[in-house]
Amino acid sequence: MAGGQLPRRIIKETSRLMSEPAPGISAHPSEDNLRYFNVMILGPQQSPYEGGIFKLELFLPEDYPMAAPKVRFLTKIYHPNIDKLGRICLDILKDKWSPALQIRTVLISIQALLSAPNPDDPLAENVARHWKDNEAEAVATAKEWTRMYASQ
Amino acid sequence: MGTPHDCGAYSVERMMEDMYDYDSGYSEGEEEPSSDEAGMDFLDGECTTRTHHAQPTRWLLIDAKKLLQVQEEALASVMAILGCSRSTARSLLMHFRWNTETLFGMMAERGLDDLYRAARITSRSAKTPLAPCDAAELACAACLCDVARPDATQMACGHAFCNDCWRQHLAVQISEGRSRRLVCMGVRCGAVCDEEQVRQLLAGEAALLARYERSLLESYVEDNAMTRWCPSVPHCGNAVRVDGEPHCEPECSCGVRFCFSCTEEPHSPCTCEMWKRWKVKCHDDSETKNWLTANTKACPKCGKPVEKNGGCNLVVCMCGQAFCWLCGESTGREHTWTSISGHSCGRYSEETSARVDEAQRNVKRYTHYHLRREAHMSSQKLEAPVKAKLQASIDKLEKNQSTLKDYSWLSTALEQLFHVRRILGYSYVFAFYMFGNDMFREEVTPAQNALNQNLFEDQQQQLEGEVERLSMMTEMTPDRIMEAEDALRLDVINSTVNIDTRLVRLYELLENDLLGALTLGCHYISPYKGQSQLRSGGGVHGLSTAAVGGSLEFPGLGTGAGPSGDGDPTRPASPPVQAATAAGVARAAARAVPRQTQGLGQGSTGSGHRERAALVPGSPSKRMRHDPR
Repeated sequence: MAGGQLPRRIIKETSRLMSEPAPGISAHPSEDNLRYFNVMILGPQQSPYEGGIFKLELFLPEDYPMAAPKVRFLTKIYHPNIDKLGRICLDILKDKWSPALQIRTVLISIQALLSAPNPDDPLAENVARHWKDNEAEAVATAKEWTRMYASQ
Repeated sequence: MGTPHDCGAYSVERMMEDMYDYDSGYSEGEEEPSSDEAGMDFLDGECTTRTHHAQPTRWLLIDAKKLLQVQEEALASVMAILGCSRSTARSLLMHFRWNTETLFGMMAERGLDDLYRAARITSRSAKTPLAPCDAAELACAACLCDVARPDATQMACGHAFCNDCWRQHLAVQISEGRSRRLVCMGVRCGAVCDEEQVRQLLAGEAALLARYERSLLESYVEDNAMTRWCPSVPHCGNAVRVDGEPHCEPECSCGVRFCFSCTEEPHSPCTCEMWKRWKVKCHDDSETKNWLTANTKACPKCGKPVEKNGGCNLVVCMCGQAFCWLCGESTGREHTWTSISGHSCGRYSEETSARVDEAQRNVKRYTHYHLRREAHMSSQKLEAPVKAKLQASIDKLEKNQSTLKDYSWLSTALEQLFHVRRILGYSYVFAFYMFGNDMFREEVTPAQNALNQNLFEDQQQQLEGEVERLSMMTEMTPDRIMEAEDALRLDVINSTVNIDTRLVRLYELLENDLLGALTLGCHYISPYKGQSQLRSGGGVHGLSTAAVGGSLEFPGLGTGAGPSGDGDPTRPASPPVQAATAAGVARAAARAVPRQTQGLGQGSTGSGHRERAALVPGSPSKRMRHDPR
C-alpha cells in the first residue's frame, strides 16, 4: 500500500460524507491529514444525550479499510460503553470489523449506541454498575453531564 | 525401628532430636546394612498379581516431515467420511482439536448441520441467496470500485470482493497471526475462507503464503490436546503425540525428556501439581521467611531479626537493645534466670507457640525432603560419568573381543540405576506433599496418613537399599567387567530385577493406595513402565521389552556365554534354588510388607539356566519355561 497516496476508497468516502451527510452526523477531514476526521454527533432524541453536541476524532489507519478506523470521544460523556478517555466499546471497531463497513456506517453505529447503552458489555465498570443498580439516577447523571460538557 | 536403614523416613521425633545435625543418618542401635546382607526376596510369587498399567502409553515422535503426514492422515479421514473440502475438514478438525473421534461422535449424534454450526464453518448469512455475480462487473464493497468479474473472487458464503481487496485483507489477517481462521470480509459474516481460494489469491506473495502454510501445519500441534512441542531450548522442531493416557514422560529424539501433562522436566512419581509447588518453594524465599518466623524475633528498637542462641529469655540485640524473648517487649538488662526485673509478661500464649511450632515443623520437613532429593540427584550426576565410562568400555570390549559376549546385563543395570535415582529423588517431593498436612488435609485422616507414610517409607527404604547396592557394584573397573565374574554378574542382574520389582510395587502403592484413594480431584502420575519410562526404540536392550513383557529379560543370560562355560542345557535346576524360592514364598506369606532380608543370589555360581530360573520374578509357569525339565 502506498504510504503517501490516499487510497481511492478514502477519497470516495470523504466526498460522499460531505455531499450527503447522515442526519445528526458531520465528519470533516483535517486539512493537514486527510486520514484524520473531526466528527460531531448530535445526541439522539429520547436519549439522555438529547440536545448535546458530541465531538469525536476518527483516524483511518494505514491498513484501512482492511483494519478498522480508530474512533474516540473528545467530549466527556456518561455512558457505560464509553470510558473516561473517550474510548468506545463497539464490536465493529474490533473483531467484527469488515472492510465492507464505512466511516458513515461506523458513525451511525456510534449514534445508535448512544440511544441504546449496553451495561452488560461495559467499558466503564462504575458507570455500568450505576446503570444497572439505579438506571433513573444514571440517566439523570448522563443528562447532567450532557448539559455540562456537551452544550454550546 | 525395624528396618536397618531408614534415614530417608521422616519422623518428627528424629527431627526434634537432631535439628541442627542432619548428618546423623543412623540412630543408636541401628546398623548400616552391609551389602551382602541386603538380599532379594522377590521370588515370593506376588509379582503375578501386577494389575496396573495394562496398556502402556504409546507416543509418537513427530518431526517436520512426519507432521505433514499425520496431519494429512487426519484430514483425509475427515474428507473421506464427510465428503467435504480440505479447508472445511481442517476447520472442523481445528475446532475439535484434531480429535477425529469427538468429531465423528458429534456428527453421529447431532448431524452434519450442527457439526458445521458448532465449528462456525458456514456463514450466518449463508441462507441468503448468493449475490448476483454473473454480471460483467462487480461493485467491490471494500474499495468502492467497479471491477471486471475475472478480477473478483466470490467465497463459498456468497460474498464477493475484488482480488486486490482480498489480497490486502488476507495479508493483514495473516500478518496479525490469524492464518488459521481467515474469515470473509462480509459484514458480520465470519465464514472461513476456502484454502484453495486463499492459495490462488496469494499466488504471487511467496512470503505470506509460506507463513500461512506453516501456520496451518503447526495447528496440528498447537490446536491439539494430545500433541505437544518438545520443550527443548533451542527448540529442536519436534513434537510428540500421545495415544491414550496423557500422563507420561516421553523422550524426544533431541534427548529431552519431559512430562507430557505440564511440559516440565519429568517428575514422576510426584504429580504435576506437587512439582509445580515444589519448584515455587525452591525458588522463592518462603522457607527462609518461615525460618525467620520460627526462629527469630524482631528487635523492638532496630527491627532486625534476632535469633536466640541460648540462655534465658532476656535477649540483647546487636544494637544493644534488650528485650524479652517471650513477648518481644523491650526491657532493661537486669535479670535473674527466671525473670527480668521490672518486666513480667509471664503469659503463655498457646497461639504463638502453635504458630512457631508449625513453622518450625514445616522448615524441618522441607529441609529433610529437600536434602534427600538433592542427595539422589547428585548421586545421579556422579553416576553419569561412571555410566559413560563403563558403556564405553563395554562397547570397546564388544568390538574387540573375538568370542561373543553379551554385556547387555550391565547396560541394562546402568540404565536402570539412572532412572531409579531420578524416581527416588522425585519420590521425596511426592512424600513432602503427600504426607504433609497441606495438600490433602481434607481427604486423609491423620491416622491413615501415618499408616500411608509408613507403608511408603518402608518401600522407599527397601528400594534405596537396593539402589545403593547396585550403585556400588557398578563402580567397578573395566577389567572386572571383562572377566565378567559370574558372581558379580549374577549380583548385578539380581539387583536390577529386584529394583524393577520394587519400583513396580512402589508405583502400585502410589497409584492405587495413596493417590487412588483420594476422592476430591484426580491426581495422576506418569506410570512406571510405560514405554515412556525408558528410551523408546533400540536404545535399551532389556528394559524396553519389559514394558510389554512385564518382567525383565536378560538376553545375556541364556546364552551360556559365561567364562566358566556352564551353559549345559541338560543340567536340571539345582535344589538350593527351589528351596530358596519356597523360603521366599513362606517369608512373604508371613509378612504383610516384604522386607529386605537375606536372599539367594549372592554366592550362587550355578548354571545360566539356574540363574535365569531364579531371576524371573514371574509366575511359576514362567519359571518353568526356563526350567529344562
